[in-house]
Amino acid sequence: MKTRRSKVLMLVTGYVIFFVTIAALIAFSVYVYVAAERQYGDDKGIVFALMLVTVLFLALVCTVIDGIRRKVTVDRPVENISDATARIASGDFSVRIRTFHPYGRYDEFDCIADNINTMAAELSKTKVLHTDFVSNVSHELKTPLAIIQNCSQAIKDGNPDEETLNKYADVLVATSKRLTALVTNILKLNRLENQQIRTEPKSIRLNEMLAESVLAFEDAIEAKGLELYCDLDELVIQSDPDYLEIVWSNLISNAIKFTEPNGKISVSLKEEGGEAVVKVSDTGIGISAETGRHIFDKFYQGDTSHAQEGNGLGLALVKKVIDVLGGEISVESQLGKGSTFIVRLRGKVA
Amino acid sequence: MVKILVAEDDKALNELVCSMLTADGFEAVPCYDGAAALRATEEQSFDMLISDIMMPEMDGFALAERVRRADSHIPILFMTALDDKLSKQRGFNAGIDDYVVKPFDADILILRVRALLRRANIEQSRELVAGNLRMNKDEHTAYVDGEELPLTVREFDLLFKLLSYPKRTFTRTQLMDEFWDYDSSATSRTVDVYMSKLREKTATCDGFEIVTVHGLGYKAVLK
Repeated sequence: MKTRRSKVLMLVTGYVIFFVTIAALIAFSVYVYVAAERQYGDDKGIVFALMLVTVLFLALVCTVIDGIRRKVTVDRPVENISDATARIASGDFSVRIRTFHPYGRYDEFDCIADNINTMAAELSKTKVLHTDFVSNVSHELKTPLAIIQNCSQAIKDGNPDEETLNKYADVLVATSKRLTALVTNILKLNRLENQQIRTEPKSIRLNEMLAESVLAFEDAIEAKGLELYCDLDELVIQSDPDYLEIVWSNLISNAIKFTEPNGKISVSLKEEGGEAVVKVSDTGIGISAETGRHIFDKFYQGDTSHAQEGNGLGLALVKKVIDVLGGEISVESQLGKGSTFIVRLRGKVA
Repeated sequence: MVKILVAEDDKALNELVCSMLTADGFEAVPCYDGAAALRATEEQSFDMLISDIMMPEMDGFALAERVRRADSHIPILFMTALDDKLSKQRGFNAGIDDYVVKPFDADILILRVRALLRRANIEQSRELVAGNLRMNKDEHTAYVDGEELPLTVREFDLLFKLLSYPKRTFTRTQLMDEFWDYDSSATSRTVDVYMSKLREKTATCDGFEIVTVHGLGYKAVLK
C-alpha cells in the first residue's frame, strides 16, 4: 500500500526522532556530570551517585513519554477497531470507524479502518437486499394464493358452464405461473443468503453465460414461435455468477412472457468504455413512459396495483441485484412496439 | 407399450403425472415411497423411472443409486423442487439422466420423457437412425442409404451428439469443451468450419438438418 517515498520518509523521521532524543539525553547527562564534577570533584562517590539518579530519572521520563505515545497511536485505534469488529460480528453493519489521519496520510490503522468500513457497507447492502425483498414478496404471495383459492372454490361450489370453466382454468394457470416466478426468486435469494458472505468475484465468460441463460429458455421460445437473435461479443468480467444468473433469467423470461407469438427477442453483449453492456430486447407489448419511470421501484413502493401484469417483482429484484454488483440498468420502450433493457456492468473487463 | 414407474410421495401430483403419461400413450405405475419403488423394480421390469428426491423410507438419491446398480441402461428422470447445483450434481453422480424442476409444464415433462427414451434406445442398440442416416456408435461408422459416409472421428462425435439431443442447441464453447483437447489451439471458429464440412457431407441426408442458431451455436432438427 505504502509508496517507496513514504517509506523513506518514515525512516528519516524515525532517525531524526532518535537522534534528537539521544542527543538531548547525552547533553543532559554531560551537563549534570560537568556540574557535579565542578561541585563535588573530589568525592567520586557523590558524582557517581548523582549520575545514577540522573540516568534513573531519564529512563523514567522516557517510559512515561513512550506510554503516552503508545496510548495515542496504538491502543486507541486498536480499541476502536476491535469494538467495531465486535459489533459487525453481532450483526450490526451500520458501524463506521473514524479514520485517525486525513486521507493521504493514512497509516496502517487507517487502512484497516477503511477496509472495515467498506466491508460493513457491502454487508449491509446485501442484507437489505434480502430482508426488503423477502418481506415485500411475502406479501405479494398472498394475492395469487387468494386468486387460486377463490377460483377453485368457485368451480367447486357453483355449477359453471364450459366457457366459464375454461376461463377459470386460464386464470388458474396464469396465477400459478406468477406464483412460481415469485417463489423461484425467493428461493434463489435464500440460497445466496445461506452462503452467508458473498463469494469473491470470479472471472466469468459473460458471452457463454448469456448464451446458456438464453438456451435454458429454448423450449419456451420455440413453444411460442419466437424469433431469437443473439449477438454476443467474447467478453470476460469479474463478478458474481449466482447474482448475475438472477438478472439474466428474469430479463429473458420477461421478454418471452410479454412478447406475442411470432415476435422477436434479441440479446446482445458489447464492450463500451470498459463496461460490459448487455441489451435484452423484445417486440412485445412495451411499457408506457409512466410505468417505465417506476418499473424498478416496486421494491420500495410495494405497489400492488399492477400486480396483474405479473412481473413477479422480478425487475425490482434485478435492479437491486445490479446495485449490489455495481452496475446500472435502464429501459427504453415504446408502447406496443417493444422494450429494450440495458444492463451496464462495471467490474474489470478483461 | 412403454412402462414407466413414477415414484412420488405426493398423491395428487403422482396421480396427475400418471394421467399425463397415460394420456400420451405410456403405461404409468405409481409408487408412493422410495422403498416401494425399489421393490417394484425388482418385481417387474420398467422402461423408465421418474422419481422425486424427498420421499419417505428411501430418498431419490438412494433409489437412483440402487436402481442404477441393478440396471445400467434404464433412464432415470428426477422430478423435484430442489434445483440447486449441489442436488443436481448428487443426482447425476447417483446415475440419473435428466432433471425436471417442480413446478413443471405437462408438455415439458412429456418432451423430456420422449427425449430420454430416444437416447436410451440409441444407447442400448448402439445405433442412431435419422431418416436415411444410420450411425453405429461402437464401430464409429455412418451409412446413408446403405452407403458408407466418410466422417472423421470428431465429425462423427459431433454429429452423434447433435442427433442424440435433437432440437437442443449447443454453444460452440460447450462443443469445444467436449470434443477438443483443453490445450488445442481450436477457437470457436474451428467449430464453424467443422459444421460447414458436416453440412456438406450430410447434404444427401433427408432425416435432419443442422441449424445455426444465430449468435449461439448449433442444433440438429429432425424432419
